[in-house]
Amino acid sequence: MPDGRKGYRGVALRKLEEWDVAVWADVEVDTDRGSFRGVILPRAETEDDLHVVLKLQHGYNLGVRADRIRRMHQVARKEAAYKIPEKEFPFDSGRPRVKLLGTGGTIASRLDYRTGAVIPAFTPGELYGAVPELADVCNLETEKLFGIFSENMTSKEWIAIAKAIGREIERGVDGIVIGHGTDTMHYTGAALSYMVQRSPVPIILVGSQRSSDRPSSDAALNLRNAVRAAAYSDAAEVMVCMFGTTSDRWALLHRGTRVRKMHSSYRSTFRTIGDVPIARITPESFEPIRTDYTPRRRDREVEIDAVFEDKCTILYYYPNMQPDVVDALVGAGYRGIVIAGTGLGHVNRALFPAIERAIAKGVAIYMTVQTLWGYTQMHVYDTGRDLIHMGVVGCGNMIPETAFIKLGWALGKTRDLDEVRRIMLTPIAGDLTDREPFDGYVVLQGGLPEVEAFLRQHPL
Amino acid sequence: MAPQIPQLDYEALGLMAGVEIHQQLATRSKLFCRCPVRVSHGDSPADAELIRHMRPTLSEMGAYDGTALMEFRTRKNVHYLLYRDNVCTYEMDDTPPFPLNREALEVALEAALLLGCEPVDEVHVSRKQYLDGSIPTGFQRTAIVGAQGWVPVGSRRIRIAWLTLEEDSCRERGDRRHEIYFAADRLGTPLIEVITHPDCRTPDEVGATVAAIARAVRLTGRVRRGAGAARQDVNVSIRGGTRVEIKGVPRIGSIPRLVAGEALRQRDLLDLREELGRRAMRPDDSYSFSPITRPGTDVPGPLCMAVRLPGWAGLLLRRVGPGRTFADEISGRVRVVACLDDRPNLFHSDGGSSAADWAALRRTLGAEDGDALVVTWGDERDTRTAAEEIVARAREAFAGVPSETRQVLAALPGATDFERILPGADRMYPDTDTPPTAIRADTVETLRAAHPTLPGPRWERYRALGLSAELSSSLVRSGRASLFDRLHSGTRLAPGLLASLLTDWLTGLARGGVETGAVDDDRLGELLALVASGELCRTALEPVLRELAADPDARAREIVERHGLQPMTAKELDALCRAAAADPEVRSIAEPARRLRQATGVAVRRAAGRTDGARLLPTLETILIGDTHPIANPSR
Repeated sequence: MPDGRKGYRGVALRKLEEWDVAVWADVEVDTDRGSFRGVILPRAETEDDLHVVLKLQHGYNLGVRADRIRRMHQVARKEAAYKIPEKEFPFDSGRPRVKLLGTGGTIASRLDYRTGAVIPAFTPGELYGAVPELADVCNLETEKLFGIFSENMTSKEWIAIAKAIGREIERGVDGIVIGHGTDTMHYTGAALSYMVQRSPVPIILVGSQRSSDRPSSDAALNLRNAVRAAAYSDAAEVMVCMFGTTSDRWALLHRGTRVRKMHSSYRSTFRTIGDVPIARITPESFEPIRTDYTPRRRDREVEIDAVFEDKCTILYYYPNMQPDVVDALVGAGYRGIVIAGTGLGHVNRALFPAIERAIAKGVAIYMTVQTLWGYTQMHVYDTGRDLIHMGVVGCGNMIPETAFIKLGWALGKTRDLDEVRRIMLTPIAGDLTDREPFDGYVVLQGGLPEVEAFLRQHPL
Repeated sequence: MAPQIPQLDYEALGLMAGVEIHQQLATRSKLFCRCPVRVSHGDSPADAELIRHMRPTLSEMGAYDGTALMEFRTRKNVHYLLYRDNVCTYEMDDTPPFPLNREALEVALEAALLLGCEPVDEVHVSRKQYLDGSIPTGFQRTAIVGAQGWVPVGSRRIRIAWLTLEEDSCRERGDRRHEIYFAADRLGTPLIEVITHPDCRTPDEVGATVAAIARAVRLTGRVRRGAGAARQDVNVSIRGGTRVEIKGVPRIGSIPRLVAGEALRQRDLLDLREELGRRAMRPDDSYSFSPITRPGTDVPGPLCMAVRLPGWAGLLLRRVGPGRTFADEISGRVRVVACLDDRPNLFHSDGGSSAADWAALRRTLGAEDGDALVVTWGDERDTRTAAEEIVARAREAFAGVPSETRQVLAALPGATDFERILPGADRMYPDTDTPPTAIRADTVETLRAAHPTLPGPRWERYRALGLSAELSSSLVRSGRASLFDRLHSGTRLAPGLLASLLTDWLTGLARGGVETGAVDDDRLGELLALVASGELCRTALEPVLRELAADPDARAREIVERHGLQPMTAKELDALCRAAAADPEVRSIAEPARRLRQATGVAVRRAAGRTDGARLLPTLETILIGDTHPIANPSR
């Protein structure tokens, strides 16, 4: 039997063996507390070994204690065929070509019976079966690069995506969409902003906060908006396209270097930090929010600079941090450290000797702010001045995750620390801006009467 | 005015009915988040709002659910109204569930035991899809807690399939065309759902089943009361028909009429199917629809569509259920699926506009006299959907009764209207956000110990005492069962007498307006103990009980003493009998048997409950026989 008795161990497994039944068997079960008829489901390996899981005829599941089972009799076999209806994507020569690169995440997913969790799934026909509206927007081509949760992304994947983008641009697509888990989407956004230079077409990262196996999922709408942006947006940049509100109202296009996931589960979790987004996408229209984006070009030229130094880290500073943390990183061979410092970019004095030792050993140390909003200003206080004197470089308003990616990329390109410094301080794709607009930091404070009045008038 | 429902022979019709009873639990917080469970906000303005849409998704077994697809066709903007005090980001579907509320699980387990269900060994939370928007996630988190119980109803056992613990949905605040409004305050309130097998055979039995389950569940003492705290769905089918679910029946009293109405509707639909057969009509006849210019009547809306139903002339006004027609069946579908909810939403050639208009339309559409025409109108996409639904509903008539859920029509008692296609098992899949919860044996034992007399075993015990099945059932559901147990073991009252006093007698008095509920078990027990010890005659029970009911502080013994209701002494009895025998009316009767009867009547009246007829009889006989036959009484 292909699925065997997956997930079952111990008492429960012995019971299934005793009655010669396996997962997906439609069985009658007699227990000392009555009889049930249902399909044996796989059991999550993380659960106990005492229960057999049944899906009853009306669809409910329950666990039956194996030691209560007196008899099991197989009536039939019903294997779940979880499959999104697959249809060939229709072609219309008048529509733009969009390439969807799949990396995993919950933009398309199905249930995993082994763990009971949602696992990523991705085939082109499935996508069209699930979101047929896509055919109204473009001619979609898809390619699954890999299928991993976004927390499992490594530099290897960033490089692979960057190279795939280069390939697709040369092939002549009008836009690229990357399906991605949301947890680390902003890291990938930053990585692609550096590894793909001078793209002639939009590169859109998209995911979903509610998995696509749920009726209330934001996946279909996000995907549709992303595909529209890839096909028609005039901004040829690396952008994240996700819900701008938790309501099904509109999406925002965020710059890949300035975007951050700001809530563990909210739909409108992505925010542009310290600036305003590029555009809003409503069901009917594109509304540009800024005009200083890099425009779309008709040529097929692009520079792919896909390198990364893995010995690079973020050090999230906290009071009472011990200097041996820094020494340990240096001892482990780290070549770049981005500190997320307090306030304007500070760490405690106790760390100074360790930082000096690190810099003496050629480790590149850059400072960002753990407040996320605002600039490093290391000339204001003694601490900052001392850090600069030691060779710690402030990154201005580059957000810590972006600075980390940029440093890894720069160290991947060169061993020359002056060159690294030049790269780090040269604004790329909006990662470092000269000025913060007055509306770059608008986090409405709930509870205030005027804010509550606003919320009553505008759906969340 | 209530439509007439003819008396039907339900056995011959093969009526089968079951119920699903939803009861909110009175826990401190909601089932999957920490929001307080509290009263609804009624119509007061919301603090914030959310707009979502629902898309059908795949079940664990890999198929789309029919209802899901139907709801998707309706393309509704779903507005959720949020309130600061009892809605958080969980209800908004922006935060995953917190661990299952243990307090709610315990109440559900207790209710399961009270209904004779076996608790499951391990609770698995499933997602049950609801695409009508009533739950922002698009599914309800629900889990079986107990299975295979039963309740006694009359002389029968109604089996309970299972009891689930689930989160309540939103309150609907308005539904107009493509906009539907839901208040999220109720959302997430713990709810138990009790689902019976289709064991009921008459409309009255369905009502009695709901009442029996509701009473059992209330014994937990931890259920919410008041408007909306309990709702029931009724499943009805007849032989040859289909299971149809009547949703959200508000009052138990209205259930028998609704069940009778649905049985009638299904029979009418089966009769209609026969008529279609007699007319040699077939579902694959050529049904068609096309846009038309507006007929003579002033029809609003940008698109007007005429649907040709081949061979249907004269059938659209046939009765389908109490006070309803087949045209109403069609109209209900158009209202729900196409969102054309201004009535009327269609005209048809069996009624309405003048024959001349229809003749012109027939010519335009190439329809024959035997065809029926239905015209519908409105927004372009909706009208197209409506035309498709009209054809679909007419075609379903060939199959008989479509499987659907129906809503109660308050204005027309016993009648219902289409709500949606009945969902199947294809809408269930495991909730990947919550781990299974094993039910510990000691938890179950603790709960069992709290209720030593669960209804099922109790009923069986009463049967063993020789009580009839019916009397046993009445007693179990009377709320006086523990008093019965106490008096049965503590006094010499015959169980049959005791049981009927606690059920039929009290019910009869209550029906006559006596507040029997005001007499608690303690005071009632004292009263019956007086009868058991011979300190009060059964005939004096009623006046004492009436006084107990009227005065919450009164006690039986004191009433008996105040009114001198103690049973007559032998001397008093003898005097009473002699006075009765001497009554002029008695003396005027010559025939002995009639004379005895008359004397007994007079004596009982004068005794005012202080003795019963049986006790009077020997004395009266002696006196009267002595009177008429002197020879028989040598002493005189």
